[in-house]
Amino acid sequence: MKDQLSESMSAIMDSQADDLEVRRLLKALDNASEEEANAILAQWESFHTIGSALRSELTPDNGQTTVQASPDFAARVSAAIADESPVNKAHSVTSKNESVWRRFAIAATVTLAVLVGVQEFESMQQGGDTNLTAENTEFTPTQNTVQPSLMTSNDIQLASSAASSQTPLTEAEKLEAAKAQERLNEYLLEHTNHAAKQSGQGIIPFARLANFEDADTDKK
Amino acid sequence: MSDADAQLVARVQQGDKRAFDLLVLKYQHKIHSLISRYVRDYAEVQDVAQEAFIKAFRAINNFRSESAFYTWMYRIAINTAKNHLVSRSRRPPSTDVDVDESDDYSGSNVLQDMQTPESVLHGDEVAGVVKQALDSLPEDLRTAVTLREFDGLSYEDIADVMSCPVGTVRSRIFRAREAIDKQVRPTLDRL
Repeated sequence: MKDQLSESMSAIMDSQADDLEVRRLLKALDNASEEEANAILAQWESFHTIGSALRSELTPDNGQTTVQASPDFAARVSAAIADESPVNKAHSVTSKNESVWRRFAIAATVTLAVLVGVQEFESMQQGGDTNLTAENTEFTPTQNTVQPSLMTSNDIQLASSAASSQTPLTEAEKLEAAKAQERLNEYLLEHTNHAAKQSGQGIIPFARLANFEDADTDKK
Repeated sequence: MSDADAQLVARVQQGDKRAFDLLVLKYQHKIHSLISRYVRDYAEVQDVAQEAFIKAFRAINNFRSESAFYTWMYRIAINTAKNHLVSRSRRPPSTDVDVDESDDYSGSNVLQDMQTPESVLHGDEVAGVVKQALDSLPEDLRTAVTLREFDGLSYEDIADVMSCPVGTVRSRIFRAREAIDKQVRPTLDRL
């Protein structure tokens, strides 16, 4: 073994070496053959035993014998931990972080759902209120103004077929669609007029739409 | 200069098991001596000490350098010894060791009863050889290593006392240890 390494070892055991020397010692142990590594470890152990002897730790002052480590003790410990690895606290920290993030994600999802729900409800209310309070607003239904809840199943079928397929409509279908649109416009106009009189009633006009549908169905 | 134990622990935490070997070799005698205050049987002392070191290795990532490694290791060893005594107490007790009073328990009387050829490292013999080797050293080497080992002075303080550079102190202490090692190694290898 090199004297330089041995001197480093002596300084390390006195905490008088720098980080580089510790690294050099460990690197030497890693790169050494088994025989060389054992020689390094034996010298390390011997230096410490010498220190213990000089400090009278091997023979306490009271004359009583103390139990010392068996010669192969360190080797047995080394073999026992050969297949072990330290408990990875970083892993538990990661798990903790994951858990925190998971909770945060759940909370965020719930919050988002609530916000969306509230917004949806408010927009429904506003939409309803607009219709209900639009006393001075002239309602001008257009061809594109479609409220599915006001349509009969035939109307829906026609509208959807018109929207989804770009195939040209036959004359009969066009006529039927025009009639349906006209009927829808009447319903909407009637609804708006009626709802305007009931301003401040929230979504009640929408409930009444079912009545319109039912009435329409009944009429048919 | 930094704490060697902290450096070694840091290396173990990075996965270097060799560094843990160095810590075991450094503290094995102290830990055995400590555990032998609580546990009577030589073989049990070995087992408890081994268990303590294995526990320490497993938990090394929990160690923060807020305290010295030996202080941490000391606690693990004490707890392991106490747990061992508790587990033993479930069986018909063969001794009258009170676990609650184990902190104050010297164990010296018990240890007198348990001496067997394998229970002792022939500490007296090793100590005798070491002291003989120390006496044979040149005065500068003997003074340097004595101030270090007996009085626990730092290299700087020893340099002041001996009126020489720190590097010289470092070299003298190393050469003293090396010289003693040469004389004591045959005894250690035989034991």
